[in-house]
Amino acid sequence: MVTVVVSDGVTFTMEQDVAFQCGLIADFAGGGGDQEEPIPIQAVNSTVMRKVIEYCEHHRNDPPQPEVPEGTPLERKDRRGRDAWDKQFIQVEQELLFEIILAANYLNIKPLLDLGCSQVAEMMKGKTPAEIQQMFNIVNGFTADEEAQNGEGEEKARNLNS
Amino acid sequence: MITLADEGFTDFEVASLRRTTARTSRQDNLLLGLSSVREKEELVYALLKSLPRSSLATIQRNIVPLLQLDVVGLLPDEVALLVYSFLPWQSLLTCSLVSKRWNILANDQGLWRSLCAERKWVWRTPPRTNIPAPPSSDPVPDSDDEGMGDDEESDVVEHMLAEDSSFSSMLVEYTTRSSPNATPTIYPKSSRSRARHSAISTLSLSGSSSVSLHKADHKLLFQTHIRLDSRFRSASYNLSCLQTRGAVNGHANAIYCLQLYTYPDTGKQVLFTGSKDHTVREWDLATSCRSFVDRSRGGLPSHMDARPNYSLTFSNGDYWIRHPLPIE
Repeated sequence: MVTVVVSDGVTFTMEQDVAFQCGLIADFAGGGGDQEEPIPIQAVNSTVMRKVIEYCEHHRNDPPQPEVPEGTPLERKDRRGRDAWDKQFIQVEQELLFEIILAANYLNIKPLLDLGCSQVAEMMKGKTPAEIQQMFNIVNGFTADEEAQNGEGEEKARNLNS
Repeated sequence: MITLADEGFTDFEVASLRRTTARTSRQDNLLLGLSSVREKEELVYALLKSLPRSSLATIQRNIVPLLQLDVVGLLPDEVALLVYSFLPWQSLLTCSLVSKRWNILANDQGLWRSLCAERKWVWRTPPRTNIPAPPSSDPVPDSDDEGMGDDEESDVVEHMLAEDSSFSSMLVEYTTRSSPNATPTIYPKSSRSRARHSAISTLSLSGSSSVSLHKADHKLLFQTHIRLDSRFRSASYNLSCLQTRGAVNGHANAIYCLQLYTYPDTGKQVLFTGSKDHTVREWDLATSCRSFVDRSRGGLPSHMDARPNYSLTFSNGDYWIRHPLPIE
């Protein structure tokens, strides 16, 4: 068993094969038996950690993911390791999605990081810049000049698409 | 961590709030006094419970934008780039218009390089012949090249591909360099590789040509490919006839070989053609004007190759004939 303590002081105890999907914990515990002291994970709060553990428990029997070489077509890259459960799992509000991605990055859980990132990408697909700005509450901060250039760029992009 | 004294103070405040209507100054004090998120949450819940349903609905509407955040912009660069790596190129172009930070991220060379790699589009730097080798970094004597037939061959192929796609030839800013000799030179065909080789030496010796090397721009490469492709598919190219039947100065027989070429100093695009009528001609693609290049000395021009700032070379069966460019 591995015990961790997160930023808001909550402790979580989980089995080794669940915990070791987090590269960080695996590195920390070094694979040597049960940990006496709980591992401090300051960058993650309990809400997010609960989600992360849920993911790790579901995927505890997965074979290790092979590295994806550069130049893999997007469709194949996108499909790997995303089942219906994953899709359901990652349907969360933006704030939590953001925190899950940060946690997956920090804890070094590559499949979860990929899942979170592809979910964000999914949200942006087929949207216009204005729609994306609205969705993510972004003030674009372009000057009038740059805006004009963008207009041309957009025109070009549309031409390319047609 | 909050001190015990603090805790007592806030409890008192919350309690008093429930009893009486809070004044603004009191609210400020209250917020300052609350140091833990959990306490603030509890206060908010308490306040919300006390509100009528209509104001709750307004609050809900107003609170939605607060929950939206620039997910990509707030992520560390490498994670944001991972997000973008899941996007098709069309979306990447869109993303570059969202904000300054998104623009920088979406123009990342790595992203475009892997998009190019998916389609096996490779950035080719201009041919080696245009790059004066720095004297210190190239200690290999020239004669070494002779034995490396394979290398030579692959270099030729690569070079021709680079010329073919005409990315590099159109993009590089070459400085003009006057040709060392203006008359055509003839090399026996057997010494082809030597001829090429000596040309390299001449260039690197002359050294005066300062070539501004450009960095690989994979976004440009990708967009150019897509643009050419879409033009081709939608047939939005200009089909023009260079030579009309029976023209005075045209080819009198079948054309055996072609070479596109862009003059680096003027940007003029021309087509060289070698024909069964034993002549080689140059066609200005903008004006369709043709100029006579050479009567290929009795042979049939069968293939040709053109180098920026260097020469047009063509085979006439027995010889390689080299013309310095531009042809006067």
